[in-house]
Amino acid sequence: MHKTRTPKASWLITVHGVTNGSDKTGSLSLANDFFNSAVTYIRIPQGLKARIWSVEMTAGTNATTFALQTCPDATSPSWTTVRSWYLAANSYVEAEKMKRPIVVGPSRDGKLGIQFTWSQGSQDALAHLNATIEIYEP
Amino acid sequence: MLNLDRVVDEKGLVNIGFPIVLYFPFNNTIVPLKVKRRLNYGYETFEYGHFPYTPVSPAVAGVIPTLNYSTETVFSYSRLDTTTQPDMFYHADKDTVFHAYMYVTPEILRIFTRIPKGTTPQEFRGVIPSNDLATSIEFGFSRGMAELAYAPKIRYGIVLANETNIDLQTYIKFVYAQYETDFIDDAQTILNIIKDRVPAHMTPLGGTVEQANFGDMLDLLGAKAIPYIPSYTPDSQALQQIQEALR
Repeated sequence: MHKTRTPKASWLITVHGVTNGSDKTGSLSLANDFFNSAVTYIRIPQGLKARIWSVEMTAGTNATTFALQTCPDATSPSWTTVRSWYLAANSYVEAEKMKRPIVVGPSRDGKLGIQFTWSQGSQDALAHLNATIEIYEP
Repeated sequence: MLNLDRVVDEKGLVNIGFPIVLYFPFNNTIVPLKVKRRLNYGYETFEYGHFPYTPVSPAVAGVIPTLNYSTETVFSYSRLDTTTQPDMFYHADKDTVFHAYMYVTPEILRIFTRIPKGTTPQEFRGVIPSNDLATSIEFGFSRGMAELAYAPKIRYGIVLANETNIDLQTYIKFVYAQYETDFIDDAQTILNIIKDRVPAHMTPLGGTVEQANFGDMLDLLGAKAIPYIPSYTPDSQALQQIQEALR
């Protein structure tokens, strides 16, 4: 008999973060309409993976380096940089859109985390990052 | 080659004239029904809104808190009259089945269905899913979508669980059909359905727990529970069992 197949989970979102203007380095606070409050990292549910499809960044009056970091246990973090992007002052970078996505996971115990960090010579609150992330069931 | 896909349309809803088979694991019976009419044909979308649950913290309607799960929830709808308002698909209508697909955003949330409400229908070798493990290593859930077949007097409860570190807002969409059904009372047709000789859509309701109001449901559907005979059973023997159940 015909039975309905449950689809594989896939949640595609864009998160937005901006430097805070008071620190030279830090983790971006990431916001999305479905996040009740912003978070500085995202835990990937058990058995699922994440694809980072694109990252768009703008720098303000200061040069800024953004980095994508992962950690196998976000509850006791030791972050590893997977990719970083250097932006000269007042510049714009659009990364990864036409290339294969960055894949993170699968999450072995639900504690795998991803975060975006920034680093600036002089702090400003003008450097923005938008990332399109898919959390999916492989 | 039997084309099983034509039994449902592109939304997964059973086409007019085809059977929907309700399967009850607790007594290993089926109720085969023919879809006579689809009353909302072409208008199947129901944009519901957030999941009707408000946690203690954060006390925001529709949010599933980080590393937490909702209580067992039914879908209220304030525009309905007071009797149907608390659980909009629950009904006691004759020859009626609401066949719904519930789509949950974010798709990464775990969906646990409870049929009937208050029980844990899924099981793995005698073990039932635990609420305490809803965000841990666990089984018996789907993500993104759940199929719900609201036969008369059958109440579903839904639990959503959030494994992430984010307090997640939710959004629920239903794609549903209101069927007018006819019990299939011809033993040979039922045999053909069980043996996969005619296309039919099957949906399981519940697990090893007896459905509340199971008898009332049968009365309202004008139906009888037919044993779900193993497909290796010889035709003559199977036919005899079906005929006995129909008497």
